[in-house]
Amino acid sequence: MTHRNVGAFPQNLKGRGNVTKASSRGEKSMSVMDAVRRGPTTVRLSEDDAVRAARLALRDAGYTFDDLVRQAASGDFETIGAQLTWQAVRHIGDPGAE
Amino acid sequence: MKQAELEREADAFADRLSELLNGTLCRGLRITAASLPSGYVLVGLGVKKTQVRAQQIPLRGSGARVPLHLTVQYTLHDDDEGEHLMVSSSVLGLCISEDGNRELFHADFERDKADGYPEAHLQVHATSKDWAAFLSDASNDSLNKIHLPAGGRRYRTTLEDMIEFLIAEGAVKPHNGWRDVITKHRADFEERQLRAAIRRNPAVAVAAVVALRSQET
Repeated sequence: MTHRNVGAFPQNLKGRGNVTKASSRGEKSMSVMDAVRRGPTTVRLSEDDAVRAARLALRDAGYTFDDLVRQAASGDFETIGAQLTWQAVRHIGDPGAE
Repeated sequence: MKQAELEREADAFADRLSELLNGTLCRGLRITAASLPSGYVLVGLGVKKTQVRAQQIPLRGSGARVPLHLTVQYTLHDDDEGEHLMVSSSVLGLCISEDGNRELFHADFERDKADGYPEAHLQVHATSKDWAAFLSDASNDSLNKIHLPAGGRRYRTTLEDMIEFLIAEGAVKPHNGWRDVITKHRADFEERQLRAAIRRNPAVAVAAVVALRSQET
């Protein structure tokens, strides 16, 4: 399978395995599904991992934890991104500043 | 439920989503999950140790002029008895931008939602004169802030429904055999919901079985 046929190539494979290049050369290569099956489906986060991930999520979304608390309390989020970020960080808690 | 068991259940849940999406609209997509110390598990595209928010899923539109993206994010937890995996919340949506900011609508589910809105609801980004007239008397002033009821806890809008909607409306090009995939996954969801309903209402379930047996004899 070439990259052209891959509808939604998973971001977490970027830079790993070079699937497209191997396929286009006809070298011994793994199928996309073999590639995507590598590694666990679920990763376990430690407390430190979770805090770091929450900080990154809030930074990427452009909100503070308190911003999202306020939006959640009002029942309305400014964007779907804000809502997705809240659904993720609410179970971690306020990660505070780095 | 122990964390390792919860994670195995989450693996299976995420793999079912991947199978559903790859069997209908996508190829090579893998839904992943992150297990938090709080006992919750976040599920979506691109979820990993450093990224707990799901990425938008790009779709091949039938006209290929609109960059359709599907929003799919679930939060899982074990139930009150600690025996079964349940969806604590989910967001399923459709937008026409990679960052998700140009949203068409989304279907939310939030168990035990505290603000008085329906646990399962639709929020639609659109305008019309008639809606404006209705909204002038409502507590929210725009349609996208209105929580349209969508089936309740057991029969909420599912990913199968979203995919079927996109195909039925001709907005995407499905894979051959997509209908069988939807049917299989929908049957699986409905059976799980039925089992949960029976666990919550055993007396009703027993009475129904007794009534069936009396009809047979």
